[in-house]
Amino acid sequence: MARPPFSGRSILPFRGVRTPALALAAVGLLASALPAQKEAGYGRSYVIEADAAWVAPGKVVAPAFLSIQDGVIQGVSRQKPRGGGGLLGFGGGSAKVLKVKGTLAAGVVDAWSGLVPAALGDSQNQPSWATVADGLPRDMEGADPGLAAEILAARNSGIAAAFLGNPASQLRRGTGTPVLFSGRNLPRPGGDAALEFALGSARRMGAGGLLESDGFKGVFEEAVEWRDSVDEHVEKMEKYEKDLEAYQEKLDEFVEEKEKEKEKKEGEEAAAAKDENGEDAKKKGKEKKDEMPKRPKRPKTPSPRTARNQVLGAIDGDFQVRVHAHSVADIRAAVEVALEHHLDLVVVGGLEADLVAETLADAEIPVILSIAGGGEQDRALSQRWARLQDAGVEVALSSGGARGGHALLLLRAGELVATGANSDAVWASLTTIPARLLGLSGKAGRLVSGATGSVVLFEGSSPFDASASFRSHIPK
Amino acid sequence: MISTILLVIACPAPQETPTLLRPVAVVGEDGALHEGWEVVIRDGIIQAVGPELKTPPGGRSVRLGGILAPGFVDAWSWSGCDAAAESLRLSPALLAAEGVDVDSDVWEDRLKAGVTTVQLLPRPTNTLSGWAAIAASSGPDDGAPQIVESRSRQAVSLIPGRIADDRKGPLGLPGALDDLAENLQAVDGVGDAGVLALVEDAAGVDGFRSVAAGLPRAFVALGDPGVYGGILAGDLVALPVPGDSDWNPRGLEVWRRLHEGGAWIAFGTGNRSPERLRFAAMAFSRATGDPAAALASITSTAAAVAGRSDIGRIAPGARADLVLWTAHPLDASARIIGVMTGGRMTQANR
Repeated sequence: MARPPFSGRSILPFRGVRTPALALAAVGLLASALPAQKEAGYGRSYVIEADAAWVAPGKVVAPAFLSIQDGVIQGVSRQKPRGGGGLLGFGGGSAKVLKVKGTLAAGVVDAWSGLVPAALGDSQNQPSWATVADGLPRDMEGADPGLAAEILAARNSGIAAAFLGNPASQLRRGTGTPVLFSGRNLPRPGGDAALEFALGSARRMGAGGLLESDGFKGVFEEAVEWRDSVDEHVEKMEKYEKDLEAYQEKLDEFVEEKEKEKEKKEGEEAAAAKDENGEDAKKKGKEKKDEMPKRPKRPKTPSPRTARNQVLGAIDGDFQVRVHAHSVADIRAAVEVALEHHLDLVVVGGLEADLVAETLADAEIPVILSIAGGGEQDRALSQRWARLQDAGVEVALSSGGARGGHALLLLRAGELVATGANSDAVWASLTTIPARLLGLSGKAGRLVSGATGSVVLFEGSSPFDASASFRSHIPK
Repeated sequence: MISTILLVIACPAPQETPTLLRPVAVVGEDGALHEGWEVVIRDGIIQAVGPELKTPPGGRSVRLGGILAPGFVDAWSWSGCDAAAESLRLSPALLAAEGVDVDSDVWEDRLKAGVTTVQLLPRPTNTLSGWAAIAASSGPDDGAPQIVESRSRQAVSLIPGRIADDRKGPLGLPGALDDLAENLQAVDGVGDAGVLALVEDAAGVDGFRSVAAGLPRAFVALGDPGVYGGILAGDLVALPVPGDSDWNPRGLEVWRRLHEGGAWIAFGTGNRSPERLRFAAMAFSRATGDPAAALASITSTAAAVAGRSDIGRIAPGARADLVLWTAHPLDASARIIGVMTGGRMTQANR
């Protein structure tokens, strides 16, 4: 199927470039990224020496030296790093060493947060194509102090990255964006933007969605039909151009013939002037006039719409599709549409997702669960999490968009462990899995070179242990 | 499970013979784990706590595969108790202890949540609402809840919204304070037991302090303590555990500031589920960075709100209300292995 020119996938500029060139490009990208981090308010180089570090779920090093430069992790090792700590320096030989007690771990990635820029929160009427990244405050002192305070509170609770969605209670919620945080506690877009929808049952979680399953399906069908009509339009235009050419030829012939006729007619008129039977001549002239070619009609151009373009982008794989859905019916409908249009779907909320766990697992569709729950009568989070896990569904745990939910995220996750969940699996649900879903792998979720230096430090048995010190490290 | 069985075997009810409990660790009064500490109990009372204790003469020694912590104390609750005066303006003689519903499911829920003790309040519809009571979640009478103290605190309501009905109370705070000024000090026993005042604004706190001068006191801080909590420094302050939709960064910041300002914070469930008690304490620990104060907020400080120093602690002379956990009770990943109230094993792991 032909695609309109504005719906193409993004293509990396160095696709097909061989390794040395790729390496150079990577170095260039990294070098260009560092000033960006400095702009974000970070600018120091130092090493944190801790008793241990959870590098990734199930992977622990002890002791641990974590090198941070310009807010970004340069590396983690068991020994104090050597070298000068230069631009790319996983160095630290001359960098200041901060010795701390406890275990370091990656900050939590909140795949469904309640962080909302004032510009979005104030508006009651967000367009369905709203793009959150466009509404983020500039990273400057005093820009959106309310959001900065919320982000600081979230960071103090151990959050290192989050997804910011459109809070509007509309049928379609536009495009949200994952963010990391600046030194001024403001969001900086990163990762993969995602197109958000809220199906009817999502209202139970306060998402305000009113779009029923049929409507959701219709959005994609309409977009596909429109795209087909564009393809048809291209074909019609090709035909039109040919017809126009043919018309021009016929018109030229017609004009030529007309002129010949005119000459002939003038001769004949002279003779006819003597002939009083003028009716025949008029009749002949009329017959000739009927043969004049008709100009082909230009096909009507289908009108583009931003919202539809986003949907087409999702169909093309440019956007992930996040569907806030809770009931079995809505989740099934979302899966059906995802399979039909090959969408990169994530189910958000999913109060009843465990009841269709096998379907989700077969379709390889992940679920973002909220620790906020859905009311007293709903089944326990631990049961839902366990059933999804057992079926092989990838599950991320989130604050669920609840204000203050960040502070509870680790504690609720710890309660899952108390009910028998595997601690590493729960930790992955808070870090590596949401990072992957948000397109932030490598930037958050684990202690690796290139990831954010927003990390946590705990002294108890785990980050879930509130009986001991727990601190967040916000890079300098 | 093994440790549960051991605890059941080790603790036939009641401990007429002294028993040396040897858990993996004991949660001390500082809120920290003390590995190798042991506890001697007899007749429902803790006799000794510390390392390398000897088995008492004629007693027994039992190893426990878990962390021994004090049972939680709910500083104030109405659940499982229905004590309310329907028409009286002042009802200082009303006893919450007489309104206990022993058949309520909440007692079972309390044990499942590790809550061994609760201070039950009469409904705060009257300025002088009546006597609060302390109840153990389980007692010797077939495990039914047991009243430990029937006059723990005289409950005073200074919540205008609750006492503004002239059939039950004065119209507004000034009238309530006038009533208290005339009658509070004269309530029999209040000088020893003290008063638990339900407040929701600064005027109520200040007014109560003036009329209750010299009496032992504690507050249940309702409404928005962020507005008036600054004047509660140095007092015992019981806060309600938040509901699902009540959590927000400001609320946690208020907790932190109250704590830093010198208020002694405890938590009560009111009408909410007992399992919220531990969660509130864990969140309090994260908000304040003070795990010891957090544990105390649902153990010893909560007991102090009820006027008791022998509850909510693992210390000589305290009630043997103990809970065996798989880890520190403020570790969210910990679960209960067994619960003991007054030296009796009452709840096993589920």
